[in-house]
Amino acid sequence: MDWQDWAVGIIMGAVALLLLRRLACMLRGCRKGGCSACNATGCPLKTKKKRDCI
Amino acid sequence: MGIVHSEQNNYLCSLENQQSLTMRLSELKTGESAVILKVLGHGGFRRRIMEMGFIRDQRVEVILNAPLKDPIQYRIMGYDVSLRRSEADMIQVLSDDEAHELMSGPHPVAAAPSERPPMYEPKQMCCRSLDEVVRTHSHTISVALVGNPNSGKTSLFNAISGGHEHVGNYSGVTVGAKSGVRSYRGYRFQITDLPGTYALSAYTPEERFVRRHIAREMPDVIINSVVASNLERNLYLTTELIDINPRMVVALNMFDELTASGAQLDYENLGRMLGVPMVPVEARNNRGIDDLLDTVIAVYENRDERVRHIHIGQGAVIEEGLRRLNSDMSLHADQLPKSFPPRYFAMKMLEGDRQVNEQLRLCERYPVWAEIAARESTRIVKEAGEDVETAFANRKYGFISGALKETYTPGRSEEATTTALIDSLATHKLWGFPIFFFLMWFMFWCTFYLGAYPQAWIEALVGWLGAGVDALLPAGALRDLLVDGVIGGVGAVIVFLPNIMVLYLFISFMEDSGYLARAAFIMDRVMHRIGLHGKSFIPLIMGFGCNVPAIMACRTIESRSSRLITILITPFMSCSARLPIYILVVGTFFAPHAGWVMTGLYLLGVAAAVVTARAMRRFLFPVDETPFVMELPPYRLPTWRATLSHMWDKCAQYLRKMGGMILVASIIVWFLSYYPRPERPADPTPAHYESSYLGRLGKACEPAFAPLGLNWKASVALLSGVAAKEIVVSTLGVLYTEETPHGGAGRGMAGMQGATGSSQGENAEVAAIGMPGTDTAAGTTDAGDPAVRTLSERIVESGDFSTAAAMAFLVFILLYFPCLATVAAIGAEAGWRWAAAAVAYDTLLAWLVSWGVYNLLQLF
Repeated sequence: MDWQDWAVGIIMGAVALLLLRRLACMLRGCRKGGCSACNATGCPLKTKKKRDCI
Repeated sequence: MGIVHSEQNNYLCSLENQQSLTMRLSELKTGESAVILKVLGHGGFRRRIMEMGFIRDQRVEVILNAPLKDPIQYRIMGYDVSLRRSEADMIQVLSDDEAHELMSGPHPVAAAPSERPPMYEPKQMCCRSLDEVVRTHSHTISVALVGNPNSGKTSLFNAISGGHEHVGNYSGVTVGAKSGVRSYRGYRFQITDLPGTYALSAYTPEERFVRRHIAREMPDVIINSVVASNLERNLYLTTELIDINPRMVVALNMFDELTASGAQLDYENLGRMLGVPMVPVEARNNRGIDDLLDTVIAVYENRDERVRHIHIGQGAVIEEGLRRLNSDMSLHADQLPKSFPPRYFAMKMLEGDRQVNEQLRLCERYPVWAEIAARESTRIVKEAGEDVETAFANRKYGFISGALKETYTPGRSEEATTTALIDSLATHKLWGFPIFFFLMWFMFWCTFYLGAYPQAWIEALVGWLGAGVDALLPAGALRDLLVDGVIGGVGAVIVFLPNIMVLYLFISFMEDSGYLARAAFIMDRVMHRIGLHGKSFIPLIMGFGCNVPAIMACRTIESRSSRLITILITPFMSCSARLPIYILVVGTFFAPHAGWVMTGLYLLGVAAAVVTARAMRRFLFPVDETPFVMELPPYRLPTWRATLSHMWDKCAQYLRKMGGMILVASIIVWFLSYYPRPERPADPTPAHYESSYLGRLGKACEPAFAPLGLNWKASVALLSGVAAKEIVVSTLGVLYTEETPHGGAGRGMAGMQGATGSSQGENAEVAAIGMPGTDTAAGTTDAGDPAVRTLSERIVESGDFSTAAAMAFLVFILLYFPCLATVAAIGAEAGWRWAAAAVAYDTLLAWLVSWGVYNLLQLF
């Protein structure tokens, strides 16, 4: 494997991590910029705080 | 009936004395108990408190009310509940001590219809039950009369209370209120006639007085006196009152003048739209007063089904600012006065209302609110091109205009305005539709024609970039990733940015000028036929740009069922992401009839939306009777700055998608098509793709698509479209990459030809709509290299698509699985179950229709 393969491997790893994080945010209900309705990062309707997410 | 003034003698029941008899819940000490008489405050607050159990006639006991301690603990309905002191202060109660005092001491005569003024009669001693005492107090309705100057408020006051107050223009420095009482059907009305105001701002003493009175005295019901023959001006105050969400009844005064002018007003429907019951009265002639009082009673007792709280839409620009400020205020609502809702305070802060700012300055959170308000006000001024107050006023008048358009038929000739003149054409029963369809055709024609030229330049740039990277790096996986995956994948999609910019330019202009609201209005009748409202039309039109903001725009639709149906049919609006695919395939297989095919695709999408909407309305949701207003803001020529700014906002979303989802998806598609590579060939070959992960995935899905005439490459392209529709073109470019005899780079996407195979100055979409002077399907090259062919040519030569299969492919693209961003938007707005249902339904419908189209075309 030459240096280009390593570079591709690192890039693909980063993409995989990004996708996993997006999936986790989606399942937890996080959203970039807060609530889609009011931009709040803490929802008074729920007991758990929604955190701002990438 | 009788006029009661506070300065009369002690035997008369003064209003102040009556008020002082009733304590507030916050005043009760630990261990004391009381019966709840009334919950004061704005509608949202009252509803929340009542849902907690604090309703009239309920007994409440104080568990712990320590000085300086907040919240206070109560027991009600067998449960322990905590309330903040400021909230408890809004609940009127009759303590046990007060009740005993009233039962044994002087008391008002039982509230029966009587001509005698209700007085305290010291000699009259009667042991009355606690229930009767509670009933007497809870059947006392405090009413405030609010209206424009010369709207007949005092005539109304005299008609209700039987007084003889002087009627005339109220003016002068001294501002005060007149009070009166009336007994009617077991209720005791305490009426306060407030000074006439045009609005509830803080400019004039009268306005400040009225607002302060409503905030402090918190009348149970407000009677808004409106001159029936001058609705447009009078209803402005009504909209201001709606903002503060009190219980309210509109008295359409001088109704005889309206009917005499030949005008007609469907006040029932208007009342339902505004969520406020409307009663025609003629105060001068004492007509309609009983109906008015009956309605006031019904509203007070929460029996009137017409009562509902509405938000008067302020438009996207202002609503964004309101949302930001209101969200923070709602989170810290305990700091706000309970008399008005948080949204009202947010509106006033954005307007820079001095009185509200002074009032809220005491709140701990005020510096944050002031900062948000200042920032948002600046943004609103910049984007709307006018000051915040004017922007609010314009939206309110637009709301009124829309409401009256549906319910009011003018009589004799009325003043013609520019807006009215244009509307006479734009919303004409006969000419409205042709004008609208012409404008739509013009919009799409410009999208293709004007966008074609910059598209060629961007293609050349992408090609140059790819060639540059290709030359700089040695052969290897990274070079292939950058050139084929990143530049090729993203470049294939970014070339369509000019088309999208033109489309959004038109949509922004129509939105800002006010025409889009008219389009919704004239489409209202058509939308009703499919079970929707005209308001659904605007998100559907926006869906032609991008489904995601269109789905979010559905929030303006008040009716839940209409909102849901509109959200679910929006994906059938062929968005701009599908344009590259149409242009490629239509340009390749249907070039001579490109215009018809493109139009047919859009119309098929609309037809699918109509069928789905009707089916949903029929089988899933009952007919929705909730009427609501479509705003008709006045026409205005938007500034180029504002329009370009809005256009850019939408295009920026598209570009963000490039840098985000599409970049990631392109890299993933490239990876799946590149690996595994056991023999490490220098250049990719079609045979290699078949054995790649992507090819294996496509082969696995091929049986599902074979009935549609599509092979594994088309299957893979369709699967990749799940991430974003534009990726389909990228994937086709990767899969139909060139085999080169010299071992040089065979680039599917990033070569000189670009995604659509078009050369400089020649564009597939221009050929696709049959514009003269172009011929791109054959794919001429600018480099003149016969070995490098266009993507169109490679697809044709591969023999993978017949004409029928190409059409089936297009139909499938039109109808299937919305992109992930759209699915996420549906999930956020309607819930994940509906998102899953949309995915399943859309894909199934796409398969069935594509199968039908494929088999039908095979017959020809």
